Amino acid sequence: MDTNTVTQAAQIISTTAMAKLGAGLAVGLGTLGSGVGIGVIFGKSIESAARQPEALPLVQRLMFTGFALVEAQALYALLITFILLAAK
Amino acid sequence: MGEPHVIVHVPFQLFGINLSITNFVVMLWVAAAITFVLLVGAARTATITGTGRLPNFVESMLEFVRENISDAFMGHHGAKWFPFVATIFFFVLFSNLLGLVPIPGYFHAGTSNLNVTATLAIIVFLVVQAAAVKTHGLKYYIGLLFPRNAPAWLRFTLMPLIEFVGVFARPFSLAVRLFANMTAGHQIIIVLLTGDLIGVTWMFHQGIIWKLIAPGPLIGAIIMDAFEIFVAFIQAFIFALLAALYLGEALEESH
Repeated sequence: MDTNTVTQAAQIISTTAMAKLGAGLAVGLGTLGSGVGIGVIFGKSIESAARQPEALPLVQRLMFTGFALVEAQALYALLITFILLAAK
Repeated sequence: MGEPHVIVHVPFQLFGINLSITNFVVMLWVAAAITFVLLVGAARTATITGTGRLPNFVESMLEFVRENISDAFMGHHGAKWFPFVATIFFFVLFSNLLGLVPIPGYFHAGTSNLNVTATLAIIVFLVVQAAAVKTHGLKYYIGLLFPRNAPAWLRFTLMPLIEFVGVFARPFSLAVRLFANMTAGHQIIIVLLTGDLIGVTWMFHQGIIWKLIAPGPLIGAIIMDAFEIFVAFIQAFIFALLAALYLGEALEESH
């Protein structure tokens, strides 16, 4: 890759545009891992509740706990998005 | 984008600190007043035989908090610290739920402000450290930074760094989790209603078929509103749960 064109591009594109691009990338890539995590949590909870229905209250409580903790990871990325959108 | 608008009602400063009465302050006061009136009112009207609707309702919520948060994560210390955990749960719950009232200027939760959630997280952090130092003394920090269960080659090299960062990462994650959850839902509702996402204003000027499709974002906003109620409950539950978990972790070991 020619470093001259990269530096030229970085000089032409404004920092506001780069900040907004980064904001879109941040939340887009950040929700990938959270999506996988939530899918795994709910899949395993449904599987274990189907295998042993008496454990459903315990499994449900742990499922909501795990869901909120995994969802928070995607929202850390959303926080970075908010910070980047406010850039000048 | 990001934080909601702050409307200052009564500006006043005290020793250079801005302590004005903003709309967030008013919402937090209303949430605290609702918590106080609900819990104290239920306690005053409670009878031995268990009659009355309000005491039974409040007692069922308190039993939920005690069984799922206090006893599950704190063991036998749960009884002593249950009022603290229950207060945190109810205050965060009512502060979250009040954000769904569509009064102009007040359509955001009291906790959708990073200052508020950071204050709550700092309170939890200070209470955890004070409780740990009170039960274990200052040896608690030695046991925390050099944990007994780690292998010796990690115990003095990497674990102190990890544990030290962990001590400060926990209140940070508490604050950010509550703030981001409360803000994100409201942002989605606002963008759906005012963002002209599918070209609603153009659609309203077309034929009858376009006019029927146009209320789509409104339906989406109603669904997101219902989801926000669910998220308010879940986030209050998680905040109280993590507070009880950190307290339980700090109070255990050699008890």
